[in-house]
Amino acid sequence: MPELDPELSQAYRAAAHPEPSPALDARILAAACQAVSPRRRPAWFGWAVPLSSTAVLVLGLSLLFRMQQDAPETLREAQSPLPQSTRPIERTESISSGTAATVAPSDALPVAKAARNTTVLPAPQPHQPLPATLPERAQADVATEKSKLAEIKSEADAAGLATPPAPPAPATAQANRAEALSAAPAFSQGMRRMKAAVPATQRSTEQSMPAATAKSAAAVPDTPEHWVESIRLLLRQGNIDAARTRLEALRKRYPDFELPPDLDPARCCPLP
Amino acid sequence: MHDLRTDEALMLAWRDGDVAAFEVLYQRWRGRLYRFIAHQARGAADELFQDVWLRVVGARGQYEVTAKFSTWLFRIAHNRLIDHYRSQGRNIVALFDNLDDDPDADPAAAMPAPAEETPAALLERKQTAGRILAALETLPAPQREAFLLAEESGMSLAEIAQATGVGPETAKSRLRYALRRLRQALGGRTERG
Repeated sequence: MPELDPELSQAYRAAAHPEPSPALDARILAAACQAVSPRRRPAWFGWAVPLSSTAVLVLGLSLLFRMQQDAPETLREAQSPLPQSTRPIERTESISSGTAATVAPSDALPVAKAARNTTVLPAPQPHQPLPATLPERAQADVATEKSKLAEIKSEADAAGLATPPAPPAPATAQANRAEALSAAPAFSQGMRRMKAAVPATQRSTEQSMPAATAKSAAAVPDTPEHWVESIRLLLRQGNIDAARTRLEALRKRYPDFELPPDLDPARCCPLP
Repeated sequence: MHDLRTDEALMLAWRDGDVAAFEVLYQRWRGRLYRFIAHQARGAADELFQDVWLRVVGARGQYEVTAKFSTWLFRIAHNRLIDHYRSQGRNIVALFDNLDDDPDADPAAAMPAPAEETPAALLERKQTAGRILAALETLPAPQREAFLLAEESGMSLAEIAQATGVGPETAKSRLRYALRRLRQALGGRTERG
């Protein structure tokens, strides 16, 4: 600075000068550090990230465990339709070759029993949604059944035979069928769960039983010998009325066929 | 190890979070600022000194390089001293506004010192370096401030004018009269040039 006197400046600098105390320095530097340092977070903030991570982990594991519990049933439901839908058709073809009759699968067994071995029901698709026209189909089947029964009755009357016992009332059959059809999804699910619960051997036994029953009850014979066998089977089952009806039908269809002695009407089926 | 960064660079670094930059800056200016304050408000030097630095800390986020850091720092100190004078009931107008505006005016007439404390008397009694400090205390505040700014911060006349909020001519006259009286206190010499 040109205005300053060097001698004056030297004298000024040689004099004792006050200095800030260390405590004052510390206060100022602390204030500066506090201004720069980030805002202090609350004590619980340090636990926020670990706690949230743990919560997410627990939730994810519980969901995974739940999905694993539900997965086997889901897999069974996804895999079961194909074998269940094809198996009854194969049995039917092996039993009654060349006929249009089909045997109801185990899921539709109540329906078949309600029809008293005279109805032919299509194999239901267990895992497909039922079409909205199922009630109409059920009514159509009942109408067909009615016409067939009326035909058989008229034939029996024409042959002078006694009227066979009346089949179940159509209204009752219709009600049973509608009930069975309406309950089909729930019934199918229940059956699947029961199948999942029982052992495989027991399941196979259950599957074979309805086949045999259907074979004996609903199969329409195509030869007189088959007619005779079916009548004998009905007799062994104690279904005298059905055996008598079928015997009359056999006589009508094959008038020249000579009945075996064990099917003599005087012995087994006394006719009026 | 000396930090070769300028004061302004250090201030910008501290604004961006570098605490070490502030420490370097503080070490550079702590003594000079403290002396600047202490020679003008001896009894309140610590308080004023801390207030000035806290204002620097508070202005950290808004700091922009519009002038030299020393000019900005001593401008803050000047304003704080004015507040201090006001708090003591001193006539700021008489001290800073009507004094030395006329370079030909006699500052001694505006603020006469006691006979025993005149620079000449002090020079006669003391031959030590403390004589200059005694003479400094007898100076009018604007002249003393101009001298301290020039001596402690190394400011030019323009920077002194900027720091004290006056024109360059006023700053020049204040500094000239301060030097004249201090020289008289040292040895009775008259102003050079």
